[in-house]
Amino acid sequence: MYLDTVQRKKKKVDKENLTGFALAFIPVMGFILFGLIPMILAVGMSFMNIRGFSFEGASFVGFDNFKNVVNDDLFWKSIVNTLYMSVSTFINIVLALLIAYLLTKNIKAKKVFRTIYFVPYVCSVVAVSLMWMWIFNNRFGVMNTIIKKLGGDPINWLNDPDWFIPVLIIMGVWSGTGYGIILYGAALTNVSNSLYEAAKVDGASTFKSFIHITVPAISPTTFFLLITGVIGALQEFARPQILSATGGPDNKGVTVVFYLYRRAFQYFEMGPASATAWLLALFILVLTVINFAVSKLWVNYDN
Amino acid sequence: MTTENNVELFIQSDAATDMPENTGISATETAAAVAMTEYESYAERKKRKERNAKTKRIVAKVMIYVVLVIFALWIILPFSIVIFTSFKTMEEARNPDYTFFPKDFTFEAYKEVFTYAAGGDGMPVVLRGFLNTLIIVIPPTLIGLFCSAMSAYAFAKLRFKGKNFLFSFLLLTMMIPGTIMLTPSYMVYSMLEWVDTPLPLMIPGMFGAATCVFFMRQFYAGIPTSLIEAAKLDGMGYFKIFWKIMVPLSVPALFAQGILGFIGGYNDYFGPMLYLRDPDWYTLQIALKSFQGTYTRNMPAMMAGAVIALIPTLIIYIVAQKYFIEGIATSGMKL
Amino acid sequence: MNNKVKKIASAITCVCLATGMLMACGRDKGTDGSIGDDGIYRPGGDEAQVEFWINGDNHEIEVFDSLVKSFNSKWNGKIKVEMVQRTGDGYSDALGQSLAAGNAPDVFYVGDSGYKNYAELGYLYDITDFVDKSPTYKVEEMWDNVVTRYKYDTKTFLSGTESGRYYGVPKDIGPTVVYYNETYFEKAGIKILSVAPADLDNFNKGGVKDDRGNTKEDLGLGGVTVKEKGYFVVNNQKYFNNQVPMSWEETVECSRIVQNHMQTKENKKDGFGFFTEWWFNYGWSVGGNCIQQIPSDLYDCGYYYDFTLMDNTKNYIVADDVKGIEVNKKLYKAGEIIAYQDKIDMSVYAGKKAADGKNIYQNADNYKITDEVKDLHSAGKLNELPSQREAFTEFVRYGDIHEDGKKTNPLAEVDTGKRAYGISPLPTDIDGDAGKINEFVYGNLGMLVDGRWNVTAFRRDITKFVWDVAPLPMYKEYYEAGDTIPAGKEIGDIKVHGIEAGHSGSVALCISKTSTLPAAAWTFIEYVASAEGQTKQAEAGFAIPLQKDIANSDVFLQKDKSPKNSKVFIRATEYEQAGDWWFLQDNKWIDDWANKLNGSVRNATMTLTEFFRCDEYSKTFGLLDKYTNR
Repeated sequence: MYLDTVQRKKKKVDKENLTGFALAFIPVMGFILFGLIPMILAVGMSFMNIRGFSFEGASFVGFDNFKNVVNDDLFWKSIVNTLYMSVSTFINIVLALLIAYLLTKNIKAKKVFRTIYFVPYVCSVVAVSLMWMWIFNNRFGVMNTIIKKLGGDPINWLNDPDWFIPVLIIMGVWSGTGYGIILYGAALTNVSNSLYEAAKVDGASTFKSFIHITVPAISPTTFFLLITGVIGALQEFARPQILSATGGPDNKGVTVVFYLYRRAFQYFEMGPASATAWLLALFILVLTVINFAVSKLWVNYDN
Repeated sequence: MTTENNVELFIQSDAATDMPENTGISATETAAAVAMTEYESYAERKKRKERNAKTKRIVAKVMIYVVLVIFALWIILPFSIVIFTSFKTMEEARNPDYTFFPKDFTFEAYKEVFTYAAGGDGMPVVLRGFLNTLIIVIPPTLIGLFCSAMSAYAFAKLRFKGKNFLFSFLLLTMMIPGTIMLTPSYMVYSMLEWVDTPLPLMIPGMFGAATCVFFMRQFYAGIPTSLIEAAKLDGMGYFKIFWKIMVPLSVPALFAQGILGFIGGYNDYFGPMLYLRDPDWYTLQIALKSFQGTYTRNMPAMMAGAVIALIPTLIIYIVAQKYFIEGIATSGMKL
Repeated sequence: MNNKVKKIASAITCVCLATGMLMACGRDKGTDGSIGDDGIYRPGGDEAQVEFWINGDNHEIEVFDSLVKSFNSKWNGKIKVEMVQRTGDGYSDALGQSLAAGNAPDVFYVGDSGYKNYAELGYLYDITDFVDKSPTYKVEEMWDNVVTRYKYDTKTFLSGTESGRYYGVPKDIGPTVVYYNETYFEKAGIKILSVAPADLDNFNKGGVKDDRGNTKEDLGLGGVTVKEKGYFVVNNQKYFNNQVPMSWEETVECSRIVQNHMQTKENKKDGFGFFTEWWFNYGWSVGGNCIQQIPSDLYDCGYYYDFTLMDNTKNYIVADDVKGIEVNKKLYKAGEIIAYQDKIDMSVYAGKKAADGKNIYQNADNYKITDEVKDLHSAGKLNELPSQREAFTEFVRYGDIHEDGKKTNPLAEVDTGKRAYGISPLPTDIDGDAGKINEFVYGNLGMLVDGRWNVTAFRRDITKFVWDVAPLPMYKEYYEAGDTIPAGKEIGDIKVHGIEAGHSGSVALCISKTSTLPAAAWTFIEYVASAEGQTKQAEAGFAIPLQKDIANSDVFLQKDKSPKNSKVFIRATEYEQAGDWWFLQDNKWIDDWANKLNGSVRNATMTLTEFFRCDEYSKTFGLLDKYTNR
């Protein structure tokens, strides 16, 4: 009798073991097939000289691809461009916090505001880019019409090397703030009200309690936004590519991924392209590690 | 894992989004009442002070509204420019003196976009693009959702060997920048002769996505285990428990993830741009991008194309807004 | 419910996987035949199914659709061509990717900036044998500067040489000309005259009609000797001869007149008189170029390339009355410009070569003309022409002047002491590549330099004005009062002239190296390039036929349609060359400096002096070294 139950239980556990593993494994297998295997290939490819898109006749060339990429001025330029564009991430965070904070106040039509703010986030990058291209159109666009009406000099937004990236930053802020607002909105509601009350009793101003209570309390969200924002920004491709398929004025639209795309799919240099990918990954890793290290100083998980 | 910590922090009920501010105010009021009984002689000064505070509060509130409205306009105005341009005539759009509202309101641009057909069979490019998008996006979204949910259920409720290892492994994959996979994946797809077909855009997604597994695991973890134990006593198998109990309980969560997945696929640009070279397979986004070449001169038509491409997502967003915001807020998921 | 969902789910999976498998499996493309010694296709078994990628506008698609249909019915059961439309700006990327992946279609378009690179990479099928055998594709009946440019030697990177092989045949030729808005010209008070230089003498006799059916007298030119000028003023009446190239000065003057009219009378405040994107007809007209191949023992290949875009030494042309002359031990005929390596004193650099043993590239300050050339010039055997740099500067000077004081074209004072003419919009003021065409169609440009490929679009889109074509500007000087005028010449006659020059675009039809049906594919290409195929294309108006006699026939000239002056295209086809992107096997040496040139210099944000001190410019010398071997 006792033995029977034990056996049954064992059988049951075995079945659970098997089912559980099988069910859980499907996404893992997807990753192995479409993530891990390509990644291992990518390591090899970054050390290989490959002609076209086939491994036929490929040969190992050591660190030549990395040298080639590192010695290419355009690669470094692409890093500078990408970092410059990622400024929008920081603007987004500040703006999102401000708006989300204001939304916690006792105001009407809160949901309407929130709905509007989040709209850009669900819009397609192509449609939105076309929209901005039209707004910033040199001759017929709204921006320059306004500038001209105000008596200013029209700016050649999309063709002037000094303005190409600022336009992308503006686009980034327009599209990305809504995401931060939603996350901050969630985080702010979790900030304990007793903290505010205590501060109020102590006579702290709204601004002071915002800086000393709110900002630290939601620092994990800020950290999360920073990490995902920077990682996303470093892989920017679509918007600059839609704005200018040739890389923008003075190559200002060439981001690292754009550079990679050009070498891989326009010059068919898969070796240097793979090397670029690894350099980018390394760069992202370093930034993330630094972010995590620095986060200990300001991110507050007690709340 | 820090991400996990982060995400747990975001979890909250939707009802809590509206902050109970009254509590704060009533607390101050109680304090004031106490003060009044103690210092009756200060009553008048007190009143003035309150009036001041009230005007201050009103000014602050107005300021808040001003900021919020300006920010709302900043979001809406660009859209309105697109919409109004799409109703202009070609000549008017190319007038250096820009006007906000169209002078001659016309549907020409929409007519043009809806009738423009590039292929031999005369099917309008936007329509074909839309259908292609549905064909390419829906199956992987549904199948992927199913696989993710199953996996999440296993991670949340079943005991099996290597569970922790597999889960950490999945979490790790979320950290890897997708760019690394770009060149080797292309090589592999090229060798499989998948390039120029929608397969590279469809097959990988069918295995499920780590973010989705993660989100659903959080959800299933919140379902009482006693429910499953009871079902087991009823003789249900593991899959049946999943299908009969977990899935019905998690419909809103699944819906949220499904919508996010669909919108992500619908808006995807890089993948289709890279893998779909055949105009017959162009998704709506790629078709829209190709308008850049077709309609260089016809700005209203290009804007009409943009409006057409935006409408489906906007409808879904407005209708399913709750799920959207919930999905994003709780998982911190990026589209 | 349960089962239903399951069924649907599995059905979807099956469908997806099945379509995937279907798409993954290559189609059965049939069996290739062979080309016999007579050059005619002999079927090899099953019907050969040739995949053909086309990239063009709807109009071109229509024409090719009918071409393909008639080809398919001609070869019914033996060859079947399947045309796949590949439109959009992604075409060259898509083609490149499929070539690199080894799954390219059998036949496809290759733009002239990709041809050499693809041939070099071994992606294109060598069709020389087919060309040699063909009974219908006859090189000797065609424009040889166009056909033979596709004869390419992948070892020497040179085209048009004996050792070259054919990897493609031209689909068409697209010479560049000046498109002009005749309505504006006439309203601006400019009368149009249409007499070719060769017919001028006859026309001047009086009573003879020009190509528009007007006599001298009709045009108010009675008693006047009409000179070989593109634009001129007689008795306060302005004239434009649309068959004679304008000189540089005439181009500027005429543009100003038209521009003034547009801005004051036509309410085109943003209108401009002229727009061109290419410096070729300026530099080449005086014998300059952006790179020069210079013989050198230091290189195994026997030469190196010098980047001479900013060469500031004068050029020299053999005077028209000199029969033949030897310069640097080479024979030059009248009207030929002395080549770069024959005019420059190379010995200046000999010492430097020995010193560092590396590349010796000239820097502008060291350029020196040989004494031989100087002597011949003072003897009157050679005429002096502007330097490449002067010609290039002329091209850049067209740009807009911003009069508000903030943004003047900085070229002016710093570099040349000359202000910009302000007769062209800055390139950035035009939206993208298609922008200039739109500007012309909308009447915002008086003149536009562009290729033949616009004609179909212009015929369709331009409804509000009359337009026609004229030759590209060239360098000319005339005798003026005060000159010592030789016997038989008078004021207004040509004193010194450069050569007529410009570039023509061309798209090739090529066969993939990996094609399993080269013979069938060739048979289709041969058909497209043959008299029958070319006639059909010419009738549609978008291309100049490869065969000279078809080009000169009414099939192409189509006098009843705009442009009336189609002859100009034919003349241009004869002398025009491929653009600089064609010079070497790829464009890596051009991209950077051209980007700077088009992005900054022509937009008046960088002076020419800054330009040739910038990294992108100086890097080019090193980049060019990669195209040689030692």
